Amino acid sequence: MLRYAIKRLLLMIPVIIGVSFLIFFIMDLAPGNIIDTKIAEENMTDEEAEMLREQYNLNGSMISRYFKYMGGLVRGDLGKSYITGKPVLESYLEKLPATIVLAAASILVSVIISIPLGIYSAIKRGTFQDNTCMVLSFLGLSIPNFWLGLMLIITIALNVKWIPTSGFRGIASVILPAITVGTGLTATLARTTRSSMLDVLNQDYLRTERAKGNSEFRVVMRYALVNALIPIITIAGGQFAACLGGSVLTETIFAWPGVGRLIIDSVNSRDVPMVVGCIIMKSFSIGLVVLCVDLLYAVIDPRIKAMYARGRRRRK
Amino acid sequence: MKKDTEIRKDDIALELKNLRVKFVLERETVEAVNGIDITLKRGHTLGLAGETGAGKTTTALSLLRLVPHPGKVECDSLKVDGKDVLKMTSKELEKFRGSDLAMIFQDPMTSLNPVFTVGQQIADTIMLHNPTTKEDAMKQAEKMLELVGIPAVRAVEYPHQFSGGMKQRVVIAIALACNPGVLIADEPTTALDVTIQAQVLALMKKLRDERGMSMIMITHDLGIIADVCDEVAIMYAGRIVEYGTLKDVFNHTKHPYTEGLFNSLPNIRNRSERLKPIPGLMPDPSNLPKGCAFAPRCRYATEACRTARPADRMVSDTHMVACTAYDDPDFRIDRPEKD
Repeated sequence: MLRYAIKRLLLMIPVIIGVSFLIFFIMDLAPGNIIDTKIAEENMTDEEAEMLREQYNLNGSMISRYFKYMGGLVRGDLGKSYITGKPVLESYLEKLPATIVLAAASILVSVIISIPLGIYSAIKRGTFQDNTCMVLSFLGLSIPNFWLGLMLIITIALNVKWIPTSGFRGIASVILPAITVGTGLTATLARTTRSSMLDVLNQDYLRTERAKGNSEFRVVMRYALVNALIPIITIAGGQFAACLGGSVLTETIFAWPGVGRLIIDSVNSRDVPMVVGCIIMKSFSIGLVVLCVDLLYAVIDPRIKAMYARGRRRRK
Repeated sequence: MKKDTEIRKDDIALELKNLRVKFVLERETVEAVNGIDITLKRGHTLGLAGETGAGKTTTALSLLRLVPHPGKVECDSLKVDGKDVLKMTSKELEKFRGSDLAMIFQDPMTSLNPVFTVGQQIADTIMLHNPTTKEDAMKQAEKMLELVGIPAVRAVEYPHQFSGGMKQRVVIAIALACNPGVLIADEPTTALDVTIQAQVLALMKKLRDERGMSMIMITHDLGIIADVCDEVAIMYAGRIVEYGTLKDVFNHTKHPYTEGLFNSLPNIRNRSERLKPIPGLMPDPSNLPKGCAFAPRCRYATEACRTARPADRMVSDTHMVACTAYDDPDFRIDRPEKD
């Protein structure tokens, strides 16, 4: 399994090369560049602007800038921001904790709502309750985040003293943004839980469990759920990975110091090294989460674990 | 062969009266079981035989009250070991399943939970019905595995690491773990190849005799019935058409359907002989004929067979046949009687 993990990590290299090239290319196509931003902000003379252009190699081709950047990347250098001059990695890591906290809390909210909803729907399939649950989960998806966020601030944060309206200050400040992001994820996860449970609920081995004398609750919550877990964690893992990229709207509404806003701000000011660096880190963390999910499969399902083991034996 | 004609009250392990099971669907109603009576004496084995779709498995699941949705079960009386199963609350039913009445399921490939070790799955039953610790239950589970001929060290393995025959042994171990008074075996050997079949059957017979269990053996294999059963019930389209001791049904066959089953067996003495299948197919259970369900395929059928359902007729103390043709006292089927 360790071999498998290492192999998967190595496979991330071509992904990162591809991602960085694409972002470089797209940023180059975008109208305007960092100099325009600086001229607008700082009243630069033409000579100063020309000097900056030289410094950032903006007169050269995109390809040459790309290779220079990649040269730094292989040494672990993600470059320096055009705007602040600080190393990109440092700025990214500054914003990362808030993002991880929000992502984890959002997934928690999503899981707490959708898994019981999905299981209940599956048990009651085709009934009024089933339809109600599915409509409820879609409601979460349909409500726009900016509206829900604002409503939560108005109705809750303004009335409950210990819940702040914005910023990242302690656990209480996570609650509202996590609800805002989390409810948006429920529809997909609840639907996945429902269909995956429906698959499992028809299996013969649950009949065996019932015939042993297990209560219906135990049959569903223990014996069925474990078997239904793989699609559920796949989706939840994917959602977590997506959250790690930051959620711009929610971060803006709650003044959340996350990477989503960092990336958007950098795109707007054409801060190319910052954008490319952040996206590389983002794809790396997504890859890492997906790998963790894959390894979790083996923990849940012994048959998948056996497959990893068999693969290793064959190679020896 | 045991032959008690006199039945004392406490001798009865399982008594089922007038079981009917319907599946009510949007467009049709499937009548899977239409009035079945079973009386199983303690220590005896009843064979439930019939074609696929005759309602054998549904009957078995109704005994455990596990008929899946949208099945509707109606029944006049169901007593197992003197306990009235119909009056049980869901809590009592959970205690009853697995400890008083256990079932071995048809397909060992799909009957085991793939994500738990076989040891856990056996220990689970033990813990549900006995106040033991986890370690103790695991030890007992290992003993159960050895009892069915699997080394105890394999208790920590998962179902996918076992062969089909081994899995069936595990399923048997689960069913026997709490020493049930009555065991239902639903085609326990159908999914296995012939050599393993013989092993599993011998194992089941041995365990049954050692533990004094009563058993209902569901199968479509008359050879298995002859091997392990004391009494036989032949099912057709959700009804029992012939019921009696092994000797009654095998040597003094009365029902044309039973005759057809015997005729369709290959003749070992004359291998060039062609098989004689029963012509036609089982009627659609959502659209059963008005009279005898077997009449459309029966070569003795008369007009009377097509209009009225045949009544259950006792031809001896132990032998029941549901066939209108016996209204005529001279009626005989072609299959000769043996002694």
